[in-house]
Amino acid sequence: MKTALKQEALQILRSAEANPKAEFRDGQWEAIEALVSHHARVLVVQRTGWGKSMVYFVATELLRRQGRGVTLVISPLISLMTNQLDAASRVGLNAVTVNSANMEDWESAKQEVLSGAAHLLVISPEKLFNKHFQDEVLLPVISRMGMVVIDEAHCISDWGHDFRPKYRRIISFLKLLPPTVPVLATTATANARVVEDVQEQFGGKLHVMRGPLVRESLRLQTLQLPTQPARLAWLVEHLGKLPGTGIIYCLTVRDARRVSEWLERNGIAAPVYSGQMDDTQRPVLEQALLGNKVKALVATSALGMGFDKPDIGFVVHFQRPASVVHYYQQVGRAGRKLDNAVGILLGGAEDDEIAEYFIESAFPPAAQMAEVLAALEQADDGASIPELQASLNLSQGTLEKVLTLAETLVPAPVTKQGSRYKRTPVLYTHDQERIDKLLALRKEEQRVMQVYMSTRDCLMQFLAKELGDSTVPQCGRCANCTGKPIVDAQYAPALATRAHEFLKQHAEVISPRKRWQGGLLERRGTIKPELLAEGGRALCAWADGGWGDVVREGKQRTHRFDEGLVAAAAELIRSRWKPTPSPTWVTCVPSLREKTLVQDFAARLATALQLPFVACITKVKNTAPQKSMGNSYHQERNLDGAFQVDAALVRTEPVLLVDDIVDSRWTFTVLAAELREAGAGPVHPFALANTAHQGGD
Amino acid sequence: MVQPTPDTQALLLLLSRLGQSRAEPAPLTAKDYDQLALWLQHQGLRPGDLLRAEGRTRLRQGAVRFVDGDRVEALLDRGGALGLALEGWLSKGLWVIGRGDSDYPRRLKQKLRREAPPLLFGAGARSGLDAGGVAIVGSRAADVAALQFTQRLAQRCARAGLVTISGGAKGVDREAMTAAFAAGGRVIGVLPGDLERAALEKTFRKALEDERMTLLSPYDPGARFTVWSAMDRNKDVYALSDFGVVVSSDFNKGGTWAGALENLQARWVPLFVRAEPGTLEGNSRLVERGGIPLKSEDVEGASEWGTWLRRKSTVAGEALAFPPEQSDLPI
Repeated sequence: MKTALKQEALQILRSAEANPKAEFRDGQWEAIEALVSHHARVLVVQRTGWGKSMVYFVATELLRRQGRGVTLVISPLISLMTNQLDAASRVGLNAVTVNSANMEDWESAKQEVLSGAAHLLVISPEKLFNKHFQDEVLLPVISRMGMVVIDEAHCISDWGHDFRPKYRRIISFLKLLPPTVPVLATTATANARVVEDVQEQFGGKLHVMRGPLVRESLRLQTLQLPTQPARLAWLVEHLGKLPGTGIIYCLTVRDARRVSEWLERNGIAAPVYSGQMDDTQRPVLEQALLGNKVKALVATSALGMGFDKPDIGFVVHFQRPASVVHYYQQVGRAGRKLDNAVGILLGGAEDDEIAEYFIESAFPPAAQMAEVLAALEQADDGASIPELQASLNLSQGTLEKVLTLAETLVPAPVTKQGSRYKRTPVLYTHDQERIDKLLALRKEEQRVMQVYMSTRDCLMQFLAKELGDSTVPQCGRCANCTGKPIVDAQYAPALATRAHEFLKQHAEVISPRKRWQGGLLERRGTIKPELLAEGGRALCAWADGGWGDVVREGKQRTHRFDEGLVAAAAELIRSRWKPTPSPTWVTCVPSLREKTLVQDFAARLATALQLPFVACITKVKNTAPQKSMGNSYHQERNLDGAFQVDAALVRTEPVLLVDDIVDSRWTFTVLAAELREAGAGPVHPFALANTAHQGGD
Repeated sequence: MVQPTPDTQALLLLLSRLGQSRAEPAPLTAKDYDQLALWLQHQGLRPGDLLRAEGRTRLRQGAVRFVDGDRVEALLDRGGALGLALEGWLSKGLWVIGRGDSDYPRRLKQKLRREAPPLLFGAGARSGLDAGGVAIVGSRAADVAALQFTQRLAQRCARAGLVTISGGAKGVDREAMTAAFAAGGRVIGVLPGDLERAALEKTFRKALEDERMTLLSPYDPGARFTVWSAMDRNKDVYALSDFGVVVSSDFNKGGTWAGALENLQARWVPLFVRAEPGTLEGNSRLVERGGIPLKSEDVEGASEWGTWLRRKSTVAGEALAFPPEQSDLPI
């Protein structure tokens, strides 16, 4: 017998789906009932497309009819937010979102929630703990909050690969809600360990509702192609034949950019998508894929959680992800509403190295945390990041990582007030044991992915088993089940040669630094325009498989840069870069450690460019290698008084300033200013290789 | 992190602004809450029951004439704000104790009865709040002699193992706290506001982390201190102690004077008053009204300090009169 509440819920569902015969899917009604009748805390683990949002749409409407206020939806990505808003309106609910991009709408959104005109308020985890946002919008409106929804709840668990520090504070927020407030947590990917961890963090009062994860339409294959040129060639050869449109995942932003550029050059519309893009660019790209305007997005893991496209035809991985959870979440985006979709994992020689890098850099060492806490304890009124940079030899990235970690521990040894970080009275104890356990787990996850690459078992079964479901039968569709590849491993050798050439031509842009960091006594604030370096280039990325290996050979073994590098540099400068105003002379960054290496190269390059080489800079102080300096302040300071520019030799025309390796760009910045002050024309920096790291998403 | 009990959650919903500068609807006043608490007690209910459907129904049916039922319900509906505010406080190492909690200081209930603050926010050590001790208070504008007296007194208390309790204001209060702490003593500061900020101060931070100090406040951690709240928390400073010492007080004005007078009238604890040449007029006037004179040489004396204070109080007719255990108080 159906209860009155279920009847009401069904009516809402049916009118939402404009289908008088619609029924709830397995588990939907149970979740709704738990939330509405018992104000329960529920974790729903269901694959994308099962209808998690329908659960909270219907629950919101039922609660609303009981006189409860707005539903707060915490969702990690803007793409998801936009989708939520659309989907809610189809159900007749009014959802509003407030984020950094629409500050001008905050007031109207607030009024809509207060007046009851808005039924769902969608925000990001970051906004939840933003003091300004709390004061202006959140606190006034969530007084009458009816329910909380937390999307991508696996991020709560630091056992999960997607662990986000901010989620730690979300869980404590959820735990501190009085029993009057129902909570719905949802995720599409969580193995048993993550579910257990989330449950434990909720204090055991969490109902877990779990559905099957296998996607019937998905055909899986793995393909080991060690070199990047091989994989690039394979993509060009086979991408066009893959069904519909899809996603190509890369591990780093740099790889994504390169793959995208290569595909575009070969006439395949495949723009890059990464977390380094701003909030206005990403929705445009998402729309392009949603509307099938491009063959694929070349993306980092930034494209993921919650991206809701039912007809993704393929997901190809250019490199191997860190874990099965990670992989399944991404490949599981394909084929939700299709009969046939393809998931191909390409494995490369660099995969292990990249995975190790991410594992090793995941946690700041105890010593760094101790250093930062001690500095904050010493300070009278806390410290800002630039102040900490001046007193500690740590990079901005490291500082941010340490501070974020500290700030999101519960309770937190550090709190952020405006732009200042302050030490709280909370005792901090470094939990090395837990970190070691996590590192071991990550390595184990990596090992399982290595096994996946080479297993002959059913690939779908393999993934399901790893995700905690050992009841899944062989899929009968994957390359291992059918015994023949879904997509051929072959590609034209000529394509691979071209890809190799392409990689060699992949110059790196060196943007000029615009501000002094205060490490030099007489230099402060914004760099005057007449002292700025021009935009420069590096021939390649250090040890990247293109020219990078040749540069390393010259620097570390032969102590002379190969003639091929001279020709490649000259070609880059003349035919592709074409710096303007065109340089009429060449000079170089001298070194006391390697007296001739750079000067010899710069002189040969000058000859190739048919320009005079002028050694007008001398090194007058022996400095520590720039790469040993942790941050800008110290890098800049390290160069204080290191060089002398001989004004008598300097020419008043544009100059090419040559170095072998560029990392922090401070050497170029300081020397450009000194050359300009000595009367030189515009300074174009050029380096053989860029070692600055560009990892992450 | 310790989640507050349902009773304390309910008290927070009813009484706290939950981090809002202007809370809508306005939280209950102490007087409103007192009425509600009596009603709850009469009904055999606890505040935490109001978080459940049955308690809410009783509230609705109860025809609560003395408080606006709609307002109470609207306050109780602020669950989201409660979660957010608590998260902010607890993540900074702050905590909250409600009048119904087992670790709420019994002294406050025994001495202040229904005026005992329903909520105590705190930082630092959460235990040992009921150990009594010496309340050292005085004006903000204290001269060198007053500060020196304060310092010696606080050191003496620390050496004798007595807790120093003060109000955290500039001048005598802070001097007492830092001196006692520096001498290795336990310290409790009852602040009239700004707890959140004080807990981050360099002066207090380490002592709080080491749990040798407690900062308490009956007001929201983010609330600004007001003249009213400064007056209002005087009673808590005295009620937490065994003995009060006024180091310097103006006559007929200022918080120290008002608080000391209040204590003399309510007889919470025996009141000692620094009696030396050069003190402010308020000191001698307090002695006239029953304060026990206290000299520098008394503080320097050789006898056991706690015993000395007790004996002196008894001689003055101010024997520690603990009211009987009060189990009849509403939460």
